[in-house]
Amino acid sequence: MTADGPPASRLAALKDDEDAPVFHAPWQARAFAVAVALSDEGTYEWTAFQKRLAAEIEQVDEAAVPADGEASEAAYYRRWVAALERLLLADGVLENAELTERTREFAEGERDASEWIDGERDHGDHSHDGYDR
Amino acid sequence: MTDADEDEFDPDEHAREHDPEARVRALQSLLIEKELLSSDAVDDVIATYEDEIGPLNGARVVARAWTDDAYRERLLEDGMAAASEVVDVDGDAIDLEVVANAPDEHHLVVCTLCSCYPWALLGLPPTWYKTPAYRSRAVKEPRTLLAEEFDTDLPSDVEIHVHDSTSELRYMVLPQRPPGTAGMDEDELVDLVSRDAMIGVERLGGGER
Repeated sequence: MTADGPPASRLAALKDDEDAPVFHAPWQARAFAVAVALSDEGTYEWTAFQKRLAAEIEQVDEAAVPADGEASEAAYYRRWVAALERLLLADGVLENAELTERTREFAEGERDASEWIDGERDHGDHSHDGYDR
Repeated sequence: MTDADEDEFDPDEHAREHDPEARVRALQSLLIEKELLSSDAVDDVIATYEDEIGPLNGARVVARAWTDDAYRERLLEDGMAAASEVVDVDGDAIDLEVVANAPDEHHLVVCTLCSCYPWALLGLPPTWYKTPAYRSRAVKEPRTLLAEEFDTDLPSDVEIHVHDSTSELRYMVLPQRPPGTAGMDEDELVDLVSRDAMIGVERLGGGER
């Protein structure tokens, strides 16, 4: 049920059919789901997240818009992640130091996704230095 | 934009330093550790949006409204409550206003601030819906936007109403039933309802050109 004729310009270049994947990368799916799940659990009101997201998006609106769908989705979800980080830090849910450290641990491979998989949880090696739980 | 209580944290610096994959993993890991998130919750949300929720929900609602006048009235009165009669959604989850196209009226939905959208009925928004170009042009020059970007040329006597979705109130368009569909049953009608028609960038019902 799409309109006849080729799409004309750059917004239309982002058009995909309705069977396109819901998420374009696993990290984008996770970012989405973490924000939704926290709201469902009552950690924050969805409107509080939405407000942060709008602020993040406003900041980058003047920047060049990526011309392809993949880049555009990635750019959007980067704002989503930044909004989530800011909200959780501002609410005191997370501390700056622990977030910075934990991110470094994943970035450098000291931690990986196996900590989510039952039975493969590695209890011994993770350093918890530098912050209190 | 930086609040006093978070002035040590610079997400832009953080983002330059680490890829989003690690940042999201870190968030998930810490939140699970603090018992704010169960380890299954994230997978459950992803699975729900990948497998269960999509524009088919909205299409079923529209098809019912095309075939049942009393239902149509309930839908325009309280969108989510009526939707929950037809598809498996929580009628209280969000406030949804359904706006009905008519021969001389066309409705278009946008979220000017970010990406508010009736997920439960349409799934997650398409990429273009989230772009600055769509979000600003939908308000400033909807007729040109529809013609240039979506090949939807509305006759000049069709009035366009633009609805700005928010996290408190979301909108969905009830398109007109296309001509020549009198003999179709509800299931056949469902196939005619596109996601884009429910956003309002496409017009069903013979109003185009």
